[in-house]
Amino acid sequence: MTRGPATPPERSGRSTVVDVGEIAPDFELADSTGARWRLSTRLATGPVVLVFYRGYW
Amino acid sequence: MAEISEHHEQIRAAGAQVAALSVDVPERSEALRQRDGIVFPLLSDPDHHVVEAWGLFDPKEKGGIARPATFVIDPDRRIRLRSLDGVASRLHAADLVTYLRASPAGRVTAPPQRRVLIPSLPQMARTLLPALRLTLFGRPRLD
Repeated sequence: MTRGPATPPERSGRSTVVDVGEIAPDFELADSTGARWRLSTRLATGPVVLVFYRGYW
Repeated sequence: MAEISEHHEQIRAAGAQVAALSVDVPERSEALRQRDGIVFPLLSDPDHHVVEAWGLFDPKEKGGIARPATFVIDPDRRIRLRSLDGVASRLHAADLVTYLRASPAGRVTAPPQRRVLIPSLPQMARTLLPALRLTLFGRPRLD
């Protein structure tokens, strides 16, 4: 068996969760209707409650 | 999610807006949104770039999903509140509303209590041990 190229390091992001007092990493994603949603843009109109969830089940 | 949805009006009234994020593709999120009548955006991060950048990616579950968590982010992009919502305890939407009302943007106050859903072992021991003792030693003698 030939040895393939080395497995690229697993991209797992930061090892600690963003914490209170830190600057939130900005991002832009599409919502379920296809509309773009950017954190920094939304923050211009007030605080944001951002909920991370496991997904549809 | 359903709980946040029920409290959405109150969260808006407290001056905040809500968005939820998962690694689901938009079609799947849309199915959830319609099933549960969710009125805030469900963001799609199928490549889990954002989930990773926030340190919430769990590669071991279901091919890689987000760990549940709730944040309140101030207009200056600073994190004001973080709740890592485990199985045993999580932030309740009603407590979140109370918190948002009590602490306007930019003013960090004590975070709301997370409610414990599963009693701790010492708690269980305190409740169960007296009952157990009663069963073992407290029965009237039959002879």
